[in-house]
Amino acid sequence: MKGRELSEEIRAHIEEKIAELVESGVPASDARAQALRGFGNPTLIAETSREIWGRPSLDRLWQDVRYGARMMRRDPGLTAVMIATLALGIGANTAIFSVAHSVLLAPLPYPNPDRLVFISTLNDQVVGAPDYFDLRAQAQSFDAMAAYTYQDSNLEARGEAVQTTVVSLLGDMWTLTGAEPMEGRLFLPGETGGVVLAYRTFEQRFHSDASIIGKAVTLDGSPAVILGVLPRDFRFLLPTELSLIQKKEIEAYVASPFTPTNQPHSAPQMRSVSVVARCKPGVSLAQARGEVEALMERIKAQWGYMGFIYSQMVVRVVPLQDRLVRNVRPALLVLLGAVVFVLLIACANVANLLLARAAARQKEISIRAALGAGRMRVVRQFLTESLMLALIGGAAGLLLARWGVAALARFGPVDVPRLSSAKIDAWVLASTLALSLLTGLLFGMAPAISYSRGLHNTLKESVRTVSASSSARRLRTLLAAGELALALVLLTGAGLMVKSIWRMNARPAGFDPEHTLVLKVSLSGDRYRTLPQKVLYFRTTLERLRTVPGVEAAGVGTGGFMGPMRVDEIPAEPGAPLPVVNIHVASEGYLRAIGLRLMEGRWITDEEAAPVAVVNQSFVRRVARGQDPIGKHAFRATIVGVVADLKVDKLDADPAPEIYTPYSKSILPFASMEVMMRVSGDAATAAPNLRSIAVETDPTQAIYGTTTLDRALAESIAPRRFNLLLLAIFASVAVLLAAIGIYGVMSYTVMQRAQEIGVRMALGAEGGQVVRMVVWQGMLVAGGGIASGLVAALALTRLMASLLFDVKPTDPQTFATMAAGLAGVAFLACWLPGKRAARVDPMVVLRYE
Amino acid sequence: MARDLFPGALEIMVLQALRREPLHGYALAQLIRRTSGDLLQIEEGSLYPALQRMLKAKWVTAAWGVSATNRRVRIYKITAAGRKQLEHEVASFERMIEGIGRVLRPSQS
Repeated sequence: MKGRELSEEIRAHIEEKIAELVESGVPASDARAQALRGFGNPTLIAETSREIWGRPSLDRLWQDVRYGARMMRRDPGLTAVMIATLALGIGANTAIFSVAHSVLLAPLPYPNPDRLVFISTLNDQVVGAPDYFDLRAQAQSFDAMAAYTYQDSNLEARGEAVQTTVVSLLGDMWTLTGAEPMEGRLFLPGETGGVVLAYRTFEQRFHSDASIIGKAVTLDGSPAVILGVLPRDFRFLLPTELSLIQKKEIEAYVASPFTPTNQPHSAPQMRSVSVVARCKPGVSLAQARGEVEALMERIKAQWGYMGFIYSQMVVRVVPLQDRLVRNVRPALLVLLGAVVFVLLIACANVANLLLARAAARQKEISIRAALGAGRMRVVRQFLTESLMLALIGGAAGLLLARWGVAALARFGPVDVPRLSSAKIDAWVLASTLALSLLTGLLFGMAPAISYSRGLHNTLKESVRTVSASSSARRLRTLLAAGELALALVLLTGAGLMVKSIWRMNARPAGFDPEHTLVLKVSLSGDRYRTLPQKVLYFRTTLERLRTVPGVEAAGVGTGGFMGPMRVDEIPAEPGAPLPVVNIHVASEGYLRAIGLRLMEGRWITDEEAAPVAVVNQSFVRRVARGQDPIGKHAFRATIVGVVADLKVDKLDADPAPEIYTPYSKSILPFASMEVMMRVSGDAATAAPNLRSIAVETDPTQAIYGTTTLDRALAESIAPRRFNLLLLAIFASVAVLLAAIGIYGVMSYTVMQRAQEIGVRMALGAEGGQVVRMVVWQGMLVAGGGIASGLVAALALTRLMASLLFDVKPTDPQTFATMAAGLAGVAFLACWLPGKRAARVDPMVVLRYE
Repeated sequence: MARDLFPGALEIMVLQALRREPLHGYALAQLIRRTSGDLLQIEEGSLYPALQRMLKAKWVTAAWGVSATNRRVRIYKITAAGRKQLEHEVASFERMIEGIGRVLRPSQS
């Protein structure tokens, strides 16, 4: 209404002026022009006048949005490509960010999470059980302290024995975690013999039948009572150091049988526990650590005979959350960096496409400018369009991210704490929105800038010779080169991880994990209290297994013990802590079944007269300090043999010193053992049969964890493989986008130079020459991008050193391979438009002139 | 020779003209051009945003009417608030002129 009145008024004004001019003798033909000259731009004036009446920006925004939508619809293909690119970039960022948020940033779901600390004095992992009791009784810095250990237990209920992963608790664990029972009750301080079930166990094993509460069960042969069930959302999120074939989920909680009386400082062996505590309000980490250190020094002075162990003591008091994510933080940060790179490439790509479109729209824009659109107005139009694209892309990305987070939670490695609780919440939504807007500004800037630089020249030129200003072309070239550089950084990162995994899997001769089968046997009950009873069980089982055709070797053994060690006859390195050695007890065939190679001396047998031991090469290097250990003594045994190093536990760790002693003479208590069998043929298919043969020895004993050593080893690096998979996906997306980027630039250049190419060909240039020319030009850009990518990668791969294994972050081979590979992709992306250029028909091009 | 107007000058000139009699846009433009002796040249069009601003501030009102040349035009009329604004503007304008005068002739002050 107002608008129409105003236009009418302005029209009346101009007509009146024309009439007056005509009256004064100006020819009618000139009068209108003269009147308009005196008046100014009517459209612009009408618009500014209207704006005075409020909400101008909203009106204009709405106008811009409608116009933008029209532009998008006009070129649906291009729009779809841009939105898909942005959705990929924003979606990947959102997914990884929500994981990082819930894993690294979100506070632990316990009361006062910021005051929870993890305390360790040995091995950066545990505290001696007697020391824990002293600390809990004496330390003043904490208002609650608790300890825990893990074990595989045999839980017999309703006549069925099931291997169960159990945490034994000491102290104020329920207070620290704020746990409340969903059914029944939790055990009280000092109360033993009670079992509290995790929700999943209650639901799956006992079908949510509450009548199980109060029922008597048997836990590892001892009577116990099921007391209660924890709620579904209770998570036991404390640092775990689970072994190779343990189940990763806590299924039940029991009170630890440890007491200050049965775990005295004077005992010849020290059991260890993991310890968490809550600092009193206002107590700093340094204060807490100072107090623990002082207390430990006192214990050390008082119990000097344990100095052997205490010499290894390093007191650490760290925030629980930091400790929990210690192993996953670097990987997540690298992945976050990678997705940011992907997003930057996506931005560059969309900016590139928008620049191309802006060049095509130059005429339209010039007309808008001539009709009175101010410079800012046009820039704003560009930015509105970019923001629209970014927001649509962001919305699509959010959908992708929802799916991605679900996939990550489902397929991600189990030992990433709280991965399964990752979700898209308000926090993530807000950051996605912010990210989309930022993205829109970032890639919208390019066309806006290139527009405001070169305006007003276009209208003068004929349509066909319109060409992008040279600044826009430079910008596009730069963007394409930048994309390649970013892509190369990602590729190099992924390449280094591939090489790491390859290195981890490098195997010595004789080691054949595909053909090695592992069964885990856990003995419980009155029949297996003494060592000879256990030995008899295993001897019988192994004899049965060896008679099965296809079984080449079978043995039984277990690790799980470790301690600082020295060779009695060789002086320890002065001043340095004693190296920590993994201690195994094993049967005769065990070492051979694993695939260890004897380098020197002889194997251990099941019928030794005196205590003997076999050590590995790492032991020789680090404990025997390079001297020949045969005939010397360590761990109260005579060393009779040396075997080659072999990674049989974790693939991603350097081989540790190992010592193997006969299980028949074991001085260490063991309940569970691993039965290793070397089989010819497919181990996985032989597994069920072998397992049932083993069960026949005594059906009341649980045999579980049947797997091939190969699979168990692969499991040990599952998190790394998962990181690699993600990084590889991101790198591929990056390469694809970068290839599209350089392809786009080259196609566009070829299109623009069609005339020139036509002339060249008319003058006798061969098709091959044209292809060479285009490819050469493209490869110059690509070369620049790849060269700067190499420099950036050199600087950045250093940050992922902790994710690599046996590969330097600057591994020249990886760098060269990846750069060459990317150059190949870039070559292809330049060659295709080049080939099209060679097909230009000179007559068609020239006829247009 | 064209000079730029200082901010608010156009409003003063419009209010001044309307104080004598209600006028429509074209007549206003002509009047301002005549009274400024072509010294101050403005694009006639810029009158309209200024008029809209003054309408919004309720210094003037507008009503459709018929011009001397028999055209349907909007005739603007000054309001009480407009008069007050004019006095205020003129006063501050004079103070400004005075101020400029002092700066230009420091010896006489």
